[in-house]
Amino acid sequence: MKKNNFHRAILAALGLCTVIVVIAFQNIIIDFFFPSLPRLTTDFSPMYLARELRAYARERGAAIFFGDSVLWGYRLESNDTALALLAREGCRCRNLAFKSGNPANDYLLSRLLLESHVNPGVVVLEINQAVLNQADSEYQTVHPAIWSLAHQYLTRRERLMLTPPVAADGRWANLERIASSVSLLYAMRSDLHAMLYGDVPPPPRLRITPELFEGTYDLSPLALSNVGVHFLVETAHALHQAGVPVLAFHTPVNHALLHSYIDNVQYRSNKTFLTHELLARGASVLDLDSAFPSNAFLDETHLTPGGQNRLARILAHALHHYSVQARVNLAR
Amino acid sequence: MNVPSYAFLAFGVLVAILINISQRSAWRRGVWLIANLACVASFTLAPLSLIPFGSFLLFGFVSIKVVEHWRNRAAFWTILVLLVGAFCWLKRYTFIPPGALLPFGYFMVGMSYVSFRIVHLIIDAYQDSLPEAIGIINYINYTLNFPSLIAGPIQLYPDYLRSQRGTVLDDAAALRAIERIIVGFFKVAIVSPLLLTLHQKTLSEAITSAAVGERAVFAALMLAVYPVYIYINFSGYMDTVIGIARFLRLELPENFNRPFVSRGFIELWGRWHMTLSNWIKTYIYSPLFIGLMHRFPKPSAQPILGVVAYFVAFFFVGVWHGQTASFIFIGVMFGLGVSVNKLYQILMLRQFGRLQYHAICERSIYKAFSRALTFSWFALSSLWFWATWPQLHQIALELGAPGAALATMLLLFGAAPALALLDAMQNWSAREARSQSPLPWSPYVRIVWYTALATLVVSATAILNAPAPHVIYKAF
Repeated sequence: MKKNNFHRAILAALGLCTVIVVIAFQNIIIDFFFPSLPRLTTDFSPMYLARELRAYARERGAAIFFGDSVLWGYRLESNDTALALLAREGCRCRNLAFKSGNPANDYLLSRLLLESHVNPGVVVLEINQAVLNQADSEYQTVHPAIWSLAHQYLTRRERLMLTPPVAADGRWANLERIASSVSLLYAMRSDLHAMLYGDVPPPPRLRITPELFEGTYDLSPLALSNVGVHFLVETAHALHQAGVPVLAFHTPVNHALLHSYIDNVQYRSNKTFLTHELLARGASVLDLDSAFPSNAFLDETHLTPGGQNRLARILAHALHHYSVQARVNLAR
Repeated sequence: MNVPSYAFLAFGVLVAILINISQRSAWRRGVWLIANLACVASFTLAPLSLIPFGSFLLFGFVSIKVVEHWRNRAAFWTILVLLVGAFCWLKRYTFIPPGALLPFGYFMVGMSYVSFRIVHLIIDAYQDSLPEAIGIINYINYTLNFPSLIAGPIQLYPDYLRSQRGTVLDDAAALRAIERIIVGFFKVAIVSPLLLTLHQKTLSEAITSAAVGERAVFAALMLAVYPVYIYINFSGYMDTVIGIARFLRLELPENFNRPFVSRGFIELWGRWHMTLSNWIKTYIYSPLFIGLMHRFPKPSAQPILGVVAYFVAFFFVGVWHGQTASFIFIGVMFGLGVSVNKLYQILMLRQFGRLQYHAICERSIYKAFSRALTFSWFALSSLWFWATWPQLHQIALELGAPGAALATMLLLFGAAPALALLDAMQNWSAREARSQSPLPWSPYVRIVWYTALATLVVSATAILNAPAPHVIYKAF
């Protein structure tokens, strides 16, 4: 009986050792071979973001871009985005834009950059007035991966401004944290899934009419109490204080489509307000709001491959001031 | 409930615990009944969608009782025709006018396999060859048997009763069952997605590569990978359900026996989806062959009648696989495969005599090319499983006649050594298993091997089931 129990204990120990060895082997494989993706996936993990930041910290003088689906390249292949075009032309661009990007995420990303000792040549901020809409709680939400890495940088008041991501706390979150700390494969499962099977597909394409965008822009006068404005200026401020140059640009908008909503005094006045606030915090500002013809857009703001190409040319030109080299043929 | 899945595994564990609480037959039948109905219910949230399937089952039960009591030939045939008609109607075969179909969605999971069981019960009841009169609970438990509901195996009723009454589950059997479940999950969760990805990649390369030679190489690979993918996927499912069934005190029949070492298309169907081909042989091939022999009693016609019966039976196998016209073509390919194989055997026997023909068959090069030819024909027939006619047309256009011929040759000449190697490896492995040599069969090696596989399976499913986004994104 005793011998039998001993035999079973040996088998159990051997099984446990096998599990540990397989997990360790997986961790080594992923750590060595998981690539840096051309852009963040919809469900990027904290582990992936932390890896990217560690990689950025090893280089100096790159241009790091914060933004939303416009810069990310909604409905486009990753190699059709402005940043992919810039990268092909030799620009050291790092794309931290993602589909649900907003100023709160940008602020936390900027804090993460600084805390990770990343030393960029310039940080490029995309300013989309649509995401300053206070009525849309979507824009007060932080991506779960960013939240888990950076929520400690928020003041109590700032936390109250934001909607915390679902399942950020609780028993499951603790279990998930334990599993993620043990297995890199588990921690990066969403990144692996996106790499193997592609990102979350966009919803079906609708016929684009102005009515679809009713309510997208909140045209009440902007102030520093606006959640988005608060985080936007805090981002510029934090980076400026750390000596990182900031270039902000107003997102190109399809004025032909949105004429009845945004071609008015309040919209222009809000844009001027944002420009002034950013300039006051040491940022340079490019106004691309009405710089693109309507055929450069897929919808209200998302650009076609041609539109992304045009954006790439403008950004390449602007980046010359920050010693972030893109070849002249693109900047011309 | 997807099969195999962790939910299915958990369900199997729960039912196994309940079934093993008591050895009383009434208890076990009750647990089976609840489990089978719960499994069916897990596929739908709308109870009304179960009505057509339920009616089909009820019709089957009433039919069995009718033929049991009357044994009337006309009634028997009428019932069979009605049953097959109802099956085609409910399965929405494309030859049925759309206006005649039910205008709402309903539950159809496992209907083909359930139909095979019902037809078997009706025929055996008519021939009075069932071991006992079947009651409604046994009928439901047998036809809806949850481990084999979705894709078989097709266990015949006498075997089902026998295996339920005589299955012993000792430590060794339980361990083997666990190992089998792990291997099944490994095949389905890891190997088969990799093969499917490889198939899609080779398909894309076969169309887009620049040189004809390159396109032909990828086309040959594309043809070769798909049958392997189906085998790994289907046999993985079988391993899982057979393993789970052992804990439920049920011994399910095997469905695969090293199919790719078959040296002829007839042998292939004796090794691939074996329970289906046995069913087809019992209920289509044999009655048809006997019927034809009665009609054409000349002994010299007998071999040709066998060829015809083989064609019809395996044409039916192809047609059964799907509802569209493509499957008629698969039926023709399968039918041609077995009937030409049979005809060849007849001619070779006539030409060389039994002894010399067997001697030829045992030559290594002959065996290698027989295997390769069988595999290649099966791979070509499988084209219609995954490709539509426009896709096939595009592939044919890209390859052209020389490319297609080259791809077929590459498939044939590539399969010959690959399958010879596979056969040698499988023979070696079988010899090792028989000799119970100490190292690979020691419990220490087995625990390491199966734990590693299980860890990989859990890891792979963690990636495949990566959670939905926490943030609910609007349509940007």
